[in-house]
Amino acid sequence: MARKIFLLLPILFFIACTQLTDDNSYIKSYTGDDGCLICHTNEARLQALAPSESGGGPPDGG
Amino acid sequence: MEPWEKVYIKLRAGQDVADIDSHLGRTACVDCHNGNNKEPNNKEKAHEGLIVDPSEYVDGTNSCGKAGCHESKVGDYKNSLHQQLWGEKRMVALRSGVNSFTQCPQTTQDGYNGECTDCHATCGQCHISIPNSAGGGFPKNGPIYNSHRFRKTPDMKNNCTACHGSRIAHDFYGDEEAGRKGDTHYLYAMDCMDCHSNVEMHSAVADKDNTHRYNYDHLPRCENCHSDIGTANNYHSIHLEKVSCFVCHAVSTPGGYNNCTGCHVAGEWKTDPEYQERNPEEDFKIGRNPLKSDSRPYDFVTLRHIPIVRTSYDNWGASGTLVDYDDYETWKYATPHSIQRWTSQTDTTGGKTCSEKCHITNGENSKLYLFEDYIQTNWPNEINANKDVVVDGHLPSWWSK
Repeated sequence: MARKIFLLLPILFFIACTQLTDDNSYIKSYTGDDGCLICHTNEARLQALAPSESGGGPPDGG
Repeated sequence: MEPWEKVYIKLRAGQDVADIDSHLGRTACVDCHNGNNKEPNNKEKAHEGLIVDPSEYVDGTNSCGKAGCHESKVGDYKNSLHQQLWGEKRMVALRSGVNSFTQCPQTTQDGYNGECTDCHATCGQCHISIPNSAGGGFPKNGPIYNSHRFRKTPDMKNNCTACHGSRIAHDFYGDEEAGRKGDTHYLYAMDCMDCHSNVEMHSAVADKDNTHRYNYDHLPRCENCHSDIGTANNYHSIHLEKVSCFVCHAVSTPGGYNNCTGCHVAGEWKTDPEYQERNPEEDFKIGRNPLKSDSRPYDFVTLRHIPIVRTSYDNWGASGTLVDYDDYETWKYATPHSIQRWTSQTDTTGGKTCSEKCHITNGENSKLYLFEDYIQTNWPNEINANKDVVVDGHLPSWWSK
C-alpha cells in the first residue's frame, strides 16, 4: 500500500501542477501595443464590453 | 459559453500570443480581421470594417488563401463537397426538373442560399472556432481556453459533431443512460478523421452537377480497414454483394438510429405533440439500393427518411417548383454511424439463427423493411417517389410477410 501511495503521489502532484497553470492566479495580461490584443486578452475588459445577455448554446447542430 | 469567452485569448504567465500559435506571431489581428488596432479604448472604432470570419470566401478566396499561405488548399476547398454542398444542390436541381442548381428558379436559389448555406464550413469554423451554427466562438474544454489556436486537425466534438449533431453524434457517441451503446469505432477511441480524411474534406469536385455524397472518389470504405471481410465467415460470404455492411451492423433497436424525420419534416418539429403522435418511426429501414453501381453493388441497403415534401420550398416563394418530386426517393441511401458487431439483426443469443433475426418469417422482422403499405399509411404523398426503393416483390419468395 505504502509503495502504491509512494508511486501515486508524484503523479497526483504533477496533475495538480498542470491544473494550476490554468488557474486565474496565473493569468497575465498582454502588455504590447496592439489594441486588439489589449482587449481580447483581458478578461475583465471583455466581460464589461460583451455582457452575457446573448450567450450561444452548446454545440448541437443538425 | 458567455459572449466574452467566445473571443477571449487567454495568456498564461510568461506567455505571449505567439506562444499560443505561430500564426499569431507572424500576423497581426488586423492583417486578417481588419478593424483598427490603434483604438483599444473605443469599441466601435476598433471594430470598424471588422471581418468576423476572414476565412469566409469573398470573390473566390479568403484570408487563409493569401499568397505564401494556403493558396492551393483554399483554392481546392472552394469547390469541395463539404464547402459547397454539391450533393444537396444536385438534388434540389433534379427535383426542380433541371440539371444544374444554377438552372433552378431564382426564388429557389435565393431561398437555398439564404437558409441552407448557413451550414457552410469555412476554414476557421473547423480549424479555429466552433461553427457558427453551433454558437461560434473559440472552443473551451472544461476550464481550458483554446483561445485563437489554429488546429491542423479539427476537434471531433467542437467541430465535426457540432454541426453533424442530431444524427451522427446521437448514433456515434451513444448514450449510456438511454441504453444506447454508441458506435464500436468510437468505443475503440477512433474519431471522425480516422475514416474521413483531409483529402475527402478538402478536394475540389470536378463534375459539380453530378457529384453527390455517395458518388465521390474520396469516401471512406469499410473494406479499407476490414480488407479480409469477404471470407471472414459464412454470413459475409453469402451476403457481401447482396446487402451493404450497414444492413446487418447498424444498430436498429428503438432509438438506435436518429432518422431525419424522427425530429422534423415540412416545418413541424418533434416538440409538436401532433407530429410526435403521427410520426411512427425514428429508425432506418432496409430497402432497395437507389445507388447501385460497381462500387455499391448491393441489392439492399439502409434507408433514411429525409424531410422533403412537395411544398418544402413554398416559404421561399418557390411554390410548385418541385415538378419532379415524384422521381426521386425520399427514403435515401443511409450510412448510420451506429455500427456494432452484434445488432438486433446479427445477435443470435438464445439459439436463434441470424436469418431468424433478420429474414421475414411468419411476419416477424417485417418492421425492419420498407414496404409500400407503410409509406401509404404514413406519407401517402411519397408513394411514387419511393416506388424504386420499397421491397415489395423483391424479397425471396420463400419469405412470408
